[in-house]
Amino acid sequence: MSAARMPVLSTVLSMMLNPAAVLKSSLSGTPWYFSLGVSASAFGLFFLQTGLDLYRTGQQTLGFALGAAGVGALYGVALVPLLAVLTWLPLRALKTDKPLTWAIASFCLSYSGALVYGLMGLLFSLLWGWKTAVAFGVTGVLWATGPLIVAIREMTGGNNALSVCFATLAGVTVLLTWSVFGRI
Amino acid sequence: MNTENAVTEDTTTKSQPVPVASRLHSLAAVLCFAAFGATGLMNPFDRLNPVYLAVGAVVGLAFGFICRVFFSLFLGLGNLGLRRDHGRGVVGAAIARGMSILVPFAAMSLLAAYWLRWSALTPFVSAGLMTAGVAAAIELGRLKPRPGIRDTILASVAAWVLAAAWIYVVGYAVRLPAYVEGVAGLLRVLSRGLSQ
Repeated sequence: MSAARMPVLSTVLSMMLNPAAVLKSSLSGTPWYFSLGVSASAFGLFFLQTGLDLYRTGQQTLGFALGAAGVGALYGVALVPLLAVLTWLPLRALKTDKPLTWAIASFCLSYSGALVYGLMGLLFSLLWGWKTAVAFGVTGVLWATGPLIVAIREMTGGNNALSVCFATLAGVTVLLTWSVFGRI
Repeated sequence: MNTENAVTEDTTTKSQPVPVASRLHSLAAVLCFAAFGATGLMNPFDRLNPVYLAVGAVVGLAFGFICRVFFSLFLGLGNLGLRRDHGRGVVGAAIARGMSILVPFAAMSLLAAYWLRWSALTPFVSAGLMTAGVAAAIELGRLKPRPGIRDTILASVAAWVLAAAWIYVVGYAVRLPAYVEGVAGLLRVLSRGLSQ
């Protein structure tokens, strides 16, 4: 599959609704920058909504909210691949046959649901002035847990217990690090 | 994708290993629902109040039982062929295995409640039920040559109904611990009065 003809919307929605099919079939044809773009956009929108919520309650300026989007994009580019590396390393010791690039791409694409929720949340935030960081942002990040479990299960050759444990650690890490940002 | 093929389930089963649920799967689901109940009915001013925790855990366990029955009903009626070929327990085992996926959601819910000190925790239950239901549908789909999307849709609808029900349950059940504390206090006073 060439990068130019890649069905962006279809890949994002499929990864949100049926991650197993994407991970088994089309992931190898997905360019690395597309996967990184999904997690960067997802966290950029999530952090932007956190900033907008803080701006609406008078705790931060609008400049902070816009800066938060940049920090979120960096978070999506740096922390999500780092989580993938930290998960892949012990699994490599357990003889996983998936390469590191596969792990990074699958972890980043797992946040496709967070991207869709982020877009919807931004719409509600800008049009109706809702506070959307928790209702849409956190829900989107929680949605990523399912695809993460599927991805780790693929890396462990179908080990359910191990995939649930690693996905729990990944989810807890994302929630904790985001909450640190929210308290700044 | 051929739409007709996608929505029509093939009742012919294939020779895949039938899902088996261990006690660990059931224990994980029980602990997760107890955690959801305890965090859902938590007293935000006294987060470790034992009465609130205990009543919450009981409500969570009752809700977990209802979830299991509801998923069994939805997925069981749509998979009569599988039940005939693999036994009545095949749907229940798939649901039990799917519900073990609630662990990350329960862990994050506990973290949000006791570390981050949040009080709006229903997204954790909603997302968890949706993921668990879809996981159970995928387990059943593995036994079919053409899985289709009917089980996934059924599980998603069931999860959506249950998530909405949980919001209402929490809304009413949140008063229960205060009633229990009141009744316990009254009994204590009465027992003191009788002993004097």
